[in-house]
Amino acid sequence: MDEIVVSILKMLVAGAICWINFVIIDTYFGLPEQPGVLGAKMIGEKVKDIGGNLHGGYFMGNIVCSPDASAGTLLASIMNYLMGVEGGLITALLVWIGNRLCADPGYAGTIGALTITAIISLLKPIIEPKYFVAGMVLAIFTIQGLDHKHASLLLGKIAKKMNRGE
Amino acid sequence: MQILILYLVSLITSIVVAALLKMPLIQKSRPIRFSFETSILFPTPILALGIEAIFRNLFGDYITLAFFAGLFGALLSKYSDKIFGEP
Repeated sequence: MDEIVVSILKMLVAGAICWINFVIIDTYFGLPEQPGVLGAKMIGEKVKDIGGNLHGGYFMGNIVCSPDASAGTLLASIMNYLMGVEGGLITALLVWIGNRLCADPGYAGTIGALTITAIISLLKPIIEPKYFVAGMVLAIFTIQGLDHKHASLLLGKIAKKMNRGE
Repeated sequence: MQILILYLVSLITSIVVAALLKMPLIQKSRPIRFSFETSILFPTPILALGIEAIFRNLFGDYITLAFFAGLFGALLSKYSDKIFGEP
């Protein structure tokens, strides 16, 4: 019983680390500022229609339309679980290629993959990479699945604080 | 230790080849976060390390392969606009 509680706690901590990692990096590299493609613009406007924040909506749309730090974090966690640090390097390469195919310069995705690789290799003795995979799925769920309106309001607030989007 | 040397070889090769190809040290257009230009510092070293990781896991530890990984990384970075199309 104790083991289950400990692993759930580890998963939640890993999820919080992943959440902070990808939200900070995506916001810093300007995801809330402008929609990269038409699909992201549509999603941003739809989120605004249901009472959310336009810039938070652009953030969510950009995440859907190209592999940014969110996808980089998830894929790097999986590759770290499979191969260790080298997996993180392969992820950065593949995410950059995916970014360029999606008309995105690729800063957020590659740097997100590299930072989570560094974090995972630092925390490996305490929290194993498998918890980061589960934690990242939870972290994306809080942004894209749970409540679009409030998630976009929160993302808009963070964007405003970091001077990305009004 | 030997693995570290392989990665260093590919890293240095990529930077040298990128400099020989006359790529800028850092993106010229501002703001950098929306710039599609490629430079010596981004993404060349990241591509070279990724290619080296793939080569090492597929074929084994060879210093020649590390050199080629650096070369391919620099070329991929330099000609990314031609490969992926200009934005």
